[in-house]
Amino acid sequence: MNLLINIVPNETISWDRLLQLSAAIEAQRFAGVVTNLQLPANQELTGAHQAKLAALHVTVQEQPQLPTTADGYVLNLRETTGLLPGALAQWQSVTSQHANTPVSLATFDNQLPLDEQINDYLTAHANNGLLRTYQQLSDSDNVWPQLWGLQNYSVQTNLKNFRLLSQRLRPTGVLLPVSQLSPDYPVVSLAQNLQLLSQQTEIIRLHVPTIQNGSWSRDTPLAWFNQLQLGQRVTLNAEWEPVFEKYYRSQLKRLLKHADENQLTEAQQDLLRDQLEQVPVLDAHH
Amino acid sequence: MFYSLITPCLPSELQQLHALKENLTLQTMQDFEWLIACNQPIDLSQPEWQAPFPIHQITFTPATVGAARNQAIQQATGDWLLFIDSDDYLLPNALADAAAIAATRSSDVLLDLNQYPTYEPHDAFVTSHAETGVADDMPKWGGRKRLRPKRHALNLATNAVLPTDTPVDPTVMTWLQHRYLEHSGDNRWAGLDRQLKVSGKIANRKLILAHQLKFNETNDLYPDGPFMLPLLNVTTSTLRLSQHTYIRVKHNDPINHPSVHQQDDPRRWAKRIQDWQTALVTLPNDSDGFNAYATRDLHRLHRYLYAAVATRTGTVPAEQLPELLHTLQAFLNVIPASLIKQTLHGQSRRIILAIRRDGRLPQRQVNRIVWMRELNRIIHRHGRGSAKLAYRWWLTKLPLKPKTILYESFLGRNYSDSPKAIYEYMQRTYPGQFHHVWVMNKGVEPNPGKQPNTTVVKRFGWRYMYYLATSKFQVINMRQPKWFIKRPETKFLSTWHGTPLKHLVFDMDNVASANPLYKQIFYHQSRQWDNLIAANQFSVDVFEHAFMYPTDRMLKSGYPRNDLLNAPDKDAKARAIKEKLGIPLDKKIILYAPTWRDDDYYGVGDYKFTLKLDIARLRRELGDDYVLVLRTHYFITEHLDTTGFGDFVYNESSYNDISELYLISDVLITDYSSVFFDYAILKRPILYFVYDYEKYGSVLRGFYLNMETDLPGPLLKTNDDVLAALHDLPALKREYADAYHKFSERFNAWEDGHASQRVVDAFFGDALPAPTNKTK
Repeated sequence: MNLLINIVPNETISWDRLLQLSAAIEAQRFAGVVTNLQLPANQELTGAHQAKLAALHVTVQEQPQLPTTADGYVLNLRETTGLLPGALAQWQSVTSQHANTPVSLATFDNQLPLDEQINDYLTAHANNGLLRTYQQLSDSDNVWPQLWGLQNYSVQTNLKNFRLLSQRLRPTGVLLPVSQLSPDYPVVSLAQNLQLLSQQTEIIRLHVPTIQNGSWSRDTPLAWFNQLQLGQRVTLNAEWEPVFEKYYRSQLKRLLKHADENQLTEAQQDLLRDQLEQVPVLDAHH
Repeated sequence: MFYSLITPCLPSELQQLHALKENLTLQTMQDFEWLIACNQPIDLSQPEWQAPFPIHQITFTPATVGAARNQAIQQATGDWLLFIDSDDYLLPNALADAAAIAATRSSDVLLDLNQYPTYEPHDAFVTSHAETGVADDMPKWGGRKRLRPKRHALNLATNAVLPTDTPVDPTVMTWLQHRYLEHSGDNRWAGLDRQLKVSGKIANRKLILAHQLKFNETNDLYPDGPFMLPLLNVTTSTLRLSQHTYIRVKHNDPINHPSVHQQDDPRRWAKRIQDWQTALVTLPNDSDGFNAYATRDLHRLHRYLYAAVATRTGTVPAEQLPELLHTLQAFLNVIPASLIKQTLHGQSRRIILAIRRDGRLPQRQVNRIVWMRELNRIIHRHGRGSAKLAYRWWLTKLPLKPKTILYESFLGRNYSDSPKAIYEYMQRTYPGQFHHVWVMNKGVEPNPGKQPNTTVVKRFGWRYMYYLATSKFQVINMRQPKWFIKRPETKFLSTWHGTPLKHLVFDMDNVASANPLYKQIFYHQSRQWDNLIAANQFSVDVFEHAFMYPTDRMLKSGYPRNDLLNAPDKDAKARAIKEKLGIPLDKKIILYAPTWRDDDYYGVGDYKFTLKLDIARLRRELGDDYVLVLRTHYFITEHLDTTGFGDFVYNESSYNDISELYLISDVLITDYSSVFFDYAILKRPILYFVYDYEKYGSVLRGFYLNMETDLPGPLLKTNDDVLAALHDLPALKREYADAYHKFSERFNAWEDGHASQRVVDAFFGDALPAPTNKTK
C-alpha cells in the first residue's frame, strides 16, 4: 500500500497526542506507508521533538511529498485522531479490492471514552451472524478481532446525498487517491475533497470505525468556516453547484446555532451572518 | 487438500463448459480434478481441453442429473467434492478460501461458497469485468431485490500486520482472512433453503461414501433432497463464506433455453413433493432436522400450492391432479398431524389435513383461500390494484362491445404514432360507425377527447379496465400489461413503433438490465397479438426471429404513422405546423434528434454530450437561413438552457407527434436513434453526428444495421464536419444519392401513403361497414 499519512496539527500542537498517533502508525507499519507532520511555517520543533519524530519515522514537511505511484493514497489526520489497532491492514484490504476510489472512514468520537463506544457498537451488532460465528470460534473477549470480523464496505454512488456530505467533505479521515488530487487546492482542505468528489462516480465507505476522530465544526469552528469559504471557490458544474450551496448554508447556520458552545465572538458571528446573507437560497433537488 | 469438481452437463451445454474451464483455470489454487458428467463424447485430447488440472469425463444412466452426480461421486478421488453447474462460475479465490478454512476445521463440516444469483451470462460479465478492472466488481444481481447485497465483506489481507499486544488465535486469524458464517448448534437448521442448495457446496468425499448419500436418479427435476438433507444431518456445521464466490447464472430465456427449474412439466408439483418425501424419510422422526424440513415444506404448500390447483388460477392440468393428490397424501402422512397443526392455521390447516385424511382436494375451500388472498392483498395496499382485480374477476366476463376500439400509444404518454393514424383514418372513413377509446395518462395534451364518438380513459383507471376487458378491438403500439387477459372473441393489433435498429428480445444476448424474465413475458404477450404491423421486409425478417412471431400473422403494410409523410397535402400541413410552432415560414429547419445515452455510458447528471453539437456556431454560421428544432430525451432537455440562443432554437422534445416535426424539417441530424428510417421517406438529407462513435462500439455490435455501410448519410465526428455538410447540402445529396436509393428500397418500399387503409382493411375485415367517406 502506497499511503501518505499526513498529520495536520491543531493551532496548538498536542505533542503527547502527536507522539501517541505516530507510535500507533509505526506499530502498524506497512511497506509503502509514509507519515508526515505538516508543520505550519510559524511553528518550530525542539531538538527533542525532532529526535522522537525521527525515531518514529515521521518526516516534517509543510508541503508533503505525495506518493508517486498511480495507486497511491493520502490520508489526512489530526494529531488528536486515535488510530485503532488493525486500521492500516483494513485500509490496505479495501484499497486493494477497489483501487483509485476515495474511501470515507467510519469513526468513533475522540471526545467520548473509546471502550464505551466499542461496547455499544458490539452490543448493537450482537445478532450479527459474523459476531456469533466469532464467539463460536473463540471465547476471548478481545474486542479488536470482533471489530475486524464485522468490517465491511459499500461502494456508494449517491455522491450528492446531502446527509452524507459532511463525512465525505471533511478534510481529515478520507483516503484520497493521489492521482485525483488537484494542485489548485491544499491537500488538507474541504475544497480538495469537494473537487475530487465532484469528479467521481463513486466513493467507498468503510463501515466499521478504524479511527477515533473529531468534528471540524465542533472542535475548530473557525477553521471549518475558513474551509467552507475556500470550498466556495471551487469551480463546480451545474449539478454540483446548488448541492454545495445548500450544504454551505446549512453549515453556516449550524455554526451560528452552536455559536455559544463554539465560543464564537460577536464579530465572528456577524461575519457568519453576513456570509449567510450573501449566499443565494437554492434548492438542490437531492 | 484436493478437490474433485463435479459438473453434470447436457450435450447442448458443451459450449459453456469451455467458458467454465477458462474460469477454473483462473483459480488461485489448482489442486483439483474436474469431472464432467456428460453422455455426449468429448475429445479431451483436443487443445481446447488442455488445462493445468486433470479433466475426466463420466458417463451415466439413467440420463438424469441425479445419476450424473452419483456416478461422478463414485469416480472422484478428491478429499472434498464441489458441485458446480456448467453455466455457473467461480471467483478466483473461491477454492483457496475454502481450502484455508477446511484446514482449520474437522472433516465433518459442509462448506458453502455462497451463491450469487445473476441473469448476466458468464461471457458478458467477463467482458464488462475486464473493462472495469475492479476486483470487487460483481455481475448484476439476479436475486430478490430486497436481498441484494449492499455491502462487501472485507477480509484481512494475508500479509496484514496486526498489533503484537493483542495475540489472535490461528483459527480466528484464518477466519479474519477468509470470513464465514457458521450454521451449527441451535442455528444448524436455520436458513434451510440456502443450505439445501447443492451448487457451490463442498463436502468431504469419505463422509458421503460412509453414509452412502445419493441423489435421486429417478426424479429428473428434483434430485437433490435425499442427498442434501441427510448430508446436513451428518455434518456438524455449514460454513458459508461471507463473500459471494459462486456465481449462479439463472436463465433469462425460458422459452428457448429453460433451466431444469424452468422446464414446462405438468408433473412438476408431483415431482417436487416426491423429492420432499424421499428426503424427509432419511431423517429420524421428530429430530430437529425432520421438523425443520417438514415445517419448511408445509410453508411452501401453504404459500404456493393453492393458486396452482384453484379453479381459476390453477396451473396443474386436471388429469395430473389425482397423481398429485396421491403423492401429497403420502407425503403428508409422513408428517405427524401435530406438527401440521402447529405449523399451519385456519383454512390452510383444514385443507392440508383434509388432503392428508382423504386424498381429495377440497376445491371450494382452495378457491376461497385464493380469492381471500387476492382480496387481502388489495386491502393491505389500501385499495391499490382493486381495478385490476375487478378486471380479472368480473369485467372480463361482461359481454363484448363489437363496435368499440381501444387505442394506446407509448403507454398512454401521448396521442401519436400508428394508433393515431389508424384512429384518424377510421374517423374519416367510417364516421359514427365505431366507438373509439383512447388510453391517455392524466393531463396529456393534446388528446382526442373532444372528437366525436371518442372517449379518453386514464391508464389503469376503472374505465380503462372496463374498456380493456370489453372492447372487441385493441390497437396498441407497445406491449399490453402482463396481466392482460386475451378474450378469444377479441382482436388485438400490435402496431409496434419502429423499424428495429437495436437487437430486440430473442436477439439480445443479455437482458440483465431488464426484467430477467423479459423474454418469457414478451413471448407470452406477443402470442396474444392477432396481427403485427411490419413497415418493410427487413422488419418482417427481424420480427420473425426477434419476436418468434409467425410471418403469416404480420401485416406487411408499411407504417400508418408514415402516411402523413406521403400525403398529397403535406406541404400545406407543414406550413400549418410551422405556424402552430411559431417558426418563421421563410426559415429552413434543422431537426436535431440524438438518442439518449443511458447510464452505462454517462453518469446520471452528466449532460456534457448535449454541448457537443455547437449550437452557438450553428447559429453564427447558419442562423440567417435556418432554425434548429431539438428533439431529445426530456431528461436532457430539462437541463439544457437554450435561452441564450434566442429564436434560433426550438425545443420540441415534448411535442406529441414526431412525424409532424419530420414534415417541417429540411435536414435531420441524428446518431444511433431509429428516427432516420421514417425520415428517409421524405428523401431529405440525413447527417449522423457520432462524436462518440468509438465509445459506442459495444452498443453498435448489438445493431441490426452496419453503421459504416448501410446508412443514407455521412457519419460525422466533429462540428467542423457537420457544419461543412450543412453548408453544402446539394453536394451531400449527390454524394449519397445511390446509398439513399438503396436504403429507401430496403426500408421504405411499402410506404406509399396508404398503409392505414391496408391495415384497417386487413385487421377489421368483416367488421367494417361500407365506407361512408372513401379517402383518396
